[in-house]
Amino acid sequence: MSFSENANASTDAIRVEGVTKRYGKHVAVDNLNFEVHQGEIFSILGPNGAGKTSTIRMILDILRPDSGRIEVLGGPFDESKKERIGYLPEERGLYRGARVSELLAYLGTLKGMTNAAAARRASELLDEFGLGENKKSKVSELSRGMSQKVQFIATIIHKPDLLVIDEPFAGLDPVNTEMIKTIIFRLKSEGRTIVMSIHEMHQVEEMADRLLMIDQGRRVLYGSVDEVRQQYAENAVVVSGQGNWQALPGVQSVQADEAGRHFTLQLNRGTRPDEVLQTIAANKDFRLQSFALAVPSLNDIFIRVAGHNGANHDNSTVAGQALSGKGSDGHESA
Amino acid sequence: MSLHKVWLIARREFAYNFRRRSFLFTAFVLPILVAAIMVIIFAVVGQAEGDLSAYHHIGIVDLAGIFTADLSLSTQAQANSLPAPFEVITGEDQARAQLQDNTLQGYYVLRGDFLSTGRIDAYNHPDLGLSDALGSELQAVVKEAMAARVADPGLATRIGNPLDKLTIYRVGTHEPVDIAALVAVFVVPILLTVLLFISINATSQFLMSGLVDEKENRMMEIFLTSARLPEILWGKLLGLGALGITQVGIWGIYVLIFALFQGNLDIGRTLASLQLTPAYLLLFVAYFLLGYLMYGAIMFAVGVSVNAEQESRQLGGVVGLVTVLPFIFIFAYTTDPGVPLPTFFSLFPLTAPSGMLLRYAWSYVSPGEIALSLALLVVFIFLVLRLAVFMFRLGALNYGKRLSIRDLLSNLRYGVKQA
Repeated sequence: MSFSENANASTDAIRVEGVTKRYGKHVAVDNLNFEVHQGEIFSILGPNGAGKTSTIRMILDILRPDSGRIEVLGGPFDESKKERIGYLPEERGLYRGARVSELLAYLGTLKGMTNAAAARRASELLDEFGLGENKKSKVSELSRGMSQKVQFIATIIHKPDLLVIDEPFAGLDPVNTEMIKTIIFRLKSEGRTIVMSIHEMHQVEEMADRLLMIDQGRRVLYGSVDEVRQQYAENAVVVSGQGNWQALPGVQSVQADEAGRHFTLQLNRGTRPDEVLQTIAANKDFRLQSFALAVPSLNDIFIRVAGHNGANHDNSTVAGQALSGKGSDGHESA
Repeated sequence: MSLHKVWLIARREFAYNFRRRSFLFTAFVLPILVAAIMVIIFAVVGQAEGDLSAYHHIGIVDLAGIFTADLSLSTQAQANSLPAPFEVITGEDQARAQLQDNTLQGYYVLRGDFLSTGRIDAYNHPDLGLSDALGSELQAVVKEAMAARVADPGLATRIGNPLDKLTIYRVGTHEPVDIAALVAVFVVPILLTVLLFISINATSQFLMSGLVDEKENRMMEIFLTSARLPEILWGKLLGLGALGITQVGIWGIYVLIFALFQGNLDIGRTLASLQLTPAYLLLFVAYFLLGYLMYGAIMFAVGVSVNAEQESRQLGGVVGLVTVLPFIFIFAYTTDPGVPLPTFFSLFPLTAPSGMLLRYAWSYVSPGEIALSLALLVVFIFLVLRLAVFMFRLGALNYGKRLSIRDLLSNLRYGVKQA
């Protein structure tokens, strides 16, 4: 299927199709397919060395794929698109001898801004990020957290349509993490697309609309965060309250948490959670305080998927394919 | 390629590096320091050369009869006719005795066969050597005494200073060369070539260290998502090239200030007196620019293949070793610039900037050879730039890892598809 034939092409900020990248004999990215929709927060996950950075570098045209196609912001990458993209690399730094406002203005001009506009915008953002007093400071005089914020400002100074940020919260304290999160949500509300490579799974659950997980260069999970979690959900519910949970019809086994307040009820095949809820509600011997589907956290899923190797990729990949809504192309489960 | 981005990068490189302490030191302080050191050295050497204040009694035992030829004078009168610190001593034994009792500080013996053999023996205390200045003074005294023996006063004058009317012409011109400029003919090309060498190397080092810095502080990827690689490369080369020219310009201003203090502001005459022809200056500018491009490209390639400034300096030092070869073998230029070694250095791209300028200053170089040298340099620069870009693509993103020859060959074998 070509890009032009895809109905969603106009709403995709990024389209990656059959992309492979090798370094010598090592296959870093193996026939990767995914799309990032415009205006969404998309998270790329994967263990170290999975191929995330190579994928990002190919999207940004820093590296060229050996095979496959990539479209960014509605078409193949070209120089004009660099001014519409903001990139925060994982391994980052700044000129230590440079003054903060001058450096930001310079990076802004490289993104197509006039010097005056870049300087003005840098000043505004520095104020917003609480660095107003550090405009004339040298980078070497900033704390690590301050430098991180300056780097983030450099990424968004030109109001990019597409933001690619690698580990945006690394090294930040909770206060600054919240600040960056707020900015990211604001950028999303303005219709900008955000691609995040991130290791903090709780942040992915909280922020991302959809995710892609790569392992050994191959796609192993792909889809909306909720879909992925549902995919890995077992047929179980978590309840709290009082009653003989084991006596409920359809309950196979009961496992209490360490505090003894929550109980995970494993249901028999064919028993639906809503049926169990109805039974509890209709039975006066039970006092229900909470009832929830036993959906695994992304962290659990990540460990489960990334912890697998070799043949286990098949199962994870099947899940990924099912979630993506795409047919099997035979490569990802190889 | 966006010229605007090249300009932005060049401007930033210039401004940032201009404020570096090392640049400010090299551009503003170093010339003063060098000038001060040279003034001190010349003052000390000059003073030492002509200083006879340590000598009060130096005997001359005239066994050849050089000073006793005028028999109309008494021995005492002959002795007194010599300028201080010399005095005639009648015999060698007497001189030895006076040396032992410290009446004499030293003595020269003009042997009986001096006129045919030129033999003079010198004796002195171990704690007071007979200096070259004293020897020169003796030579003047002896020369004058011998000239006095010639009946013809004109001939006597010529014997005293046979080269005082020497006039030198440069081949192809009828304008006599200022005798004082003879030193300049030899020294100025060396000084200018050293200047070119220092400037090119300093700015190339800036380029290399800047690149390593950007790799170390991870700025490179941000640049690559903001500009094309050729824009980055040319921006850096041009910005730092302008810095090199500025550096030379600052040195030039120092020279003008010096000339102002000397009361000489006729630049054309000054250049002519330094034997700096328009053709030489044109060649100097050409080799300066091409030399800078070449070293800049080499340093660019070195910078992207390493991860620490120390490593880059080591590798850059190896290249620097090759480039100084014309200076190491400078004797080959002064004896016969047409022999194979200077010819090779003037054509081999790595040594051509300094090699050709030295050779051109001291000998005739055909236009064909100059054209060949420049052409080889241009081709070499083109190849190095290609290699620099290739290595950049391989090495720029290999943080924490040095780009090895093996990596390079491996990628050449597999082919790198990055544009």
